[in-house]
Amino acid sequence: MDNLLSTELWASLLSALLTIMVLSYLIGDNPLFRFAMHLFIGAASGYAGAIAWHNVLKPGLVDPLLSAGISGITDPSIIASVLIPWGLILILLLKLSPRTARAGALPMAILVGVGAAVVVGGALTGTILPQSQAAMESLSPTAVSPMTGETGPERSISVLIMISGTISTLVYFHFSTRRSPSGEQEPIFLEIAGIGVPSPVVMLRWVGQAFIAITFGVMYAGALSATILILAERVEFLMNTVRLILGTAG
Amino acid sequence: MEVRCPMCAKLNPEGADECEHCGARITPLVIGDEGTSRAEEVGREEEDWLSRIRDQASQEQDQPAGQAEPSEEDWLGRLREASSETPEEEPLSPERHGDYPATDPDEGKEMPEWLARIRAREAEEVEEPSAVQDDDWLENLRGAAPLDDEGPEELAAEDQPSEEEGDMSPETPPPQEMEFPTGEDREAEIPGWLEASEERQPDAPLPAEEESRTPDLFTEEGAEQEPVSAADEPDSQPFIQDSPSWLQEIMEETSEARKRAEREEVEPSRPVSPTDIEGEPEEPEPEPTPHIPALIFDDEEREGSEFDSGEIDLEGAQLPEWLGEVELEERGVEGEEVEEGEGDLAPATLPTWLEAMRPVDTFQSVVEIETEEDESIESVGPLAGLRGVLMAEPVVAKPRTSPIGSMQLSVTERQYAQAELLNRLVAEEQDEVRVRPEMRLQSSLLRWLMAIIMLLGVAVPTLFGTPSYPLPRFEPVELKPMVNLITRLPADRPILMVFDYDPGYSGELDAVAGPLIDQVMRQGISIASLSTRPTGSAMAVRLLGEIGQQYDYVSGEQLIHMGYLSGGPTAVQLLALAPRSAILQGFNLPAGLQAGGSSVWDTPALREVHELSDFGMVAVISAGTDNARMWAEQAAPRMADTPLVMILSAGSEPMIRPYFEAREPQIQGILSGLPAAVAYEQRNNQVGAAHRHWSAFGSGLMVAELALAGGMVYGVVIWFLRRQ
Repeated sequence: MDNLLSTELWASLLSALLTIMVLSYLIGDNPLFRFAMHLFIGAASGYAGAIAWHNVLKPGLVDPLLSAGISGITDPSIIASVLIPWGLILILLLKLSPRTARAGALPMAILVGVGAAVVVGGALTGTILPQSQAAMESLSPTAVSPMTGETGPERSISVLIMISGTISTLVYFHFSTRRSPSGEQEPIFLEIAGIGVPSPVVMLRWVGQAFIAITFGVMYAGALSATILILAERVEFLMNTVRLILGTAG
Repeated sequence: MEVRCPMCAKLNPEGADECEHCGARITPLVIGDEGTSRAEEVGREEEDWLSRIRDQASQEQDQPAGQAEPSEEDWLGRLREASSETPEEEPLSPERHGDYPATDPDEGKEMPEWLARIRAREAEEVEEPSAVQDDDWLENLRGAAPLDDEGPEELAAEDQPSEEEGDMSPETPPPQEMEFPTGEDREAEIPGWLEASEERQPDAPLPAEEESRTPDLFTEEGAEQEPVSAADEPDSQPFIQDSPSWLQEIMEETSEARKRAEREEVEPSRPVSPTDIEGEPEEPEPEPTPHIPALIFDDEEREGSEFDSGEIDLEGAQLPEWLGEVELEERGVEGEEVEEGEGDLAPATLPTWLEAMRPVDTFQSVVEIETEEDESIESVGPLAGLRGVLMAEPVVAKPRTSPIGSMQLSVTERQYAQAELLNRLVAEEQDEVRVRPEMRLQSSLLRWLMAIIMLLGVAVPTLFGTPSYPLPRFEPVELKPMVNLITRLPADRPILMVFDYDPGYSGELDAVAGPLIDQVMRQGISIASLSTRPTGSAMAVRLLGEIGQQYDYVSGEQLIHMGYLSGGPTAVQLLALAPRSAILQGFNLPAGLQAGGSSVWDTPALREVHELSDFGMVAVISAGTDNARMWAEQAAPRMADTPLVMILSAGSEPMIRPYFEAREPQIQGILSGLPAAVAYEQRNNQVGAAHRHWSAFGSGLMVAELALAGGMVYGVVIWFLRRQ
């Protein structure tokens, strides 16, 4: 009896039920699936709101103000860390009304400006420059990869593939080729034994297109394997829940 | 005077027939007269017919009363006036044919047979004057009325459509075939002017072809007639003065040619008369070009007729032969007198049937132009001061109603019905169609089949343990560095684990991150959890608590949950620079800490942590590429020697791997996929979630691979069949 009323059991049952409701999408869009989706979205939103209040707003804007009191309002640290953010929040709330929407542009500008600067700076210093340097690998067989430990021809081949893939992918995204007057996209550059040979840029574009296709294929394969693993875990959970119910009932 | 060769343009002596230089003929050859120059022959031809005209004109003056008197008025002008006047309805009558010169039997002329026949016919038709009521000139001729001495006005009036006929009447009878009167009748009915023309040239030879209707006005015979200068014959002076300018010029030219001929003592040819053709043998001379007057008037009725008053009655006039006139032959052959004031080239008159087709009422042959005094002067605009400027403002700017009445749209019943149908169709398109409930249960058989196969492929190994797939024998290359890295972690420094994934990916990432967490806990290292997602903290609590139970990890001591980090990349950068400013509160802190108002930074594990680099390691568990990249870009540059490790989903690993395999890697460890997790567990000598899911994972992958292969084969076969 206690087992029947245990929280774990009811939680498992509820979870299994929701799992089945979501898996009912196999038969198409149905009310069970919609209910489960609505329930999940609502719960997630509520939970996120609660977390935001307890972890961000209250400890950052409310508790310091309450603890400082009226006399502590003039404290510069309170002013900088509490009052100014409160002011920006109130100004941002003016965007709710169309009449006062223009006044709420200041906090929006701060948010967008700071966010863009951080993202652009991070992309520049964290991705573009380091990755550009990483592409300038040495083709020497004696070199050793620091992380993988590859060396010798294996590493040279890896580097060569990496360089060709980088260049061909960049060429693919460069719109340098134009259509011929007849409408053909790849004009014939040279004819050898009656066979039309396109220009080197066109051929390099084909290679880049192949690399991109392989990359997307690998990403799809990874997503597929992740999905199958998730499905396997859910099926195992359902079976465990059934065993639990049967065990409890038994 | 030298003459120039027409071929080589070189000078040759005067009178030369052939060029001395090239041998081309200078003077064109004239058939029948090789001894005379072409110019002289042409001049002679012109003078002959012109002389006939002058003779006729002079004889008209000598004719008794009743015949046409020379009129000082321009005969052409009279024609024009007659054409502008309303057509008279005078039917053709024998008297009206008095314009035509009638033959005088007393004169004793010999009429050719053909002419006699014509006159005879005309005499017969005169008995039926009623039959000649229409104004068709051809009908008038056919009526065989005697040729009257009518002027050109009558002829013009004859050609104009009568009131009885009506303008543009389709009922206008076509020109009937002319019937020429016989010789005797013809002789009696020849108008005076025609007789006069015949008298003027009594010796004019008849044309060689008796039956020819068209007199040979332009043949060499006519040209050989003695040119008569208009200036030399005083009788023809009034005629010349009344003649049009072009005729006068021709006359002057012929007179000059005649003078030249006289100077050279060229015997002029004898004019041909009609009597010569009939009986008298003539010399084989070229026939003179017969005269073809446009209008032939009768001289008899000239007196007191419209001719004197400036009007020309064209009803009784006969038209030239080329229009079917017969009397012209008589005139041209016998050299009959031509009525004074009448020109050979009278203005052409349209036949009645043609005149009826002309829109006389609307046609204006004369364009009326305003005089300068009548033109208004423009006062505004760039054209101010100019005359004759089109008035734009009163024409364009002035509002005016359209002269055309508004057209009402006439809609038939059928069109109305079609419009209604179209309107109904458009309205039906806007109506929403209710979804049939039974259609929601319909699903494709293939989707059901694939779903069942996939579920069985995953469930069967889990339920029954078979098929069982062997564990991987080769571990990933990056696993060893990862294990070594964790092995070298100091025990007094906590590690930061970031749970940046949704609950939906917990089935995969929990299995992959489990071995790492297990190794860390086995080493007794404190773990601080953090998440940039609101639901990440709960995920961290669940996973760390589940694994920590094995190693007696207590929340708030070895497990510190820092909670939710809001702000995205900006917050991550702030955390990297000043973690205590970024995290103010914890998550799921022990009751003691919460009651004391303490924060996570007051816990023993994080008491010594002031910067991100104070952590022993930062491990980011992420299912998406963006979150992993964000930590690599924002946090890695500010972590100094603290390693950054990524635990990723299999789908995002290709995008993050370059950060790991770079020459200066930003990520010091990477772990992705179930195979890596299984290999990690094997290293740890433990059987965890990865081992439990391995068979189901393998079976599911096998089913997916078989489905992809089967679909590819099906696609190739279909493509091949369609191509064929």
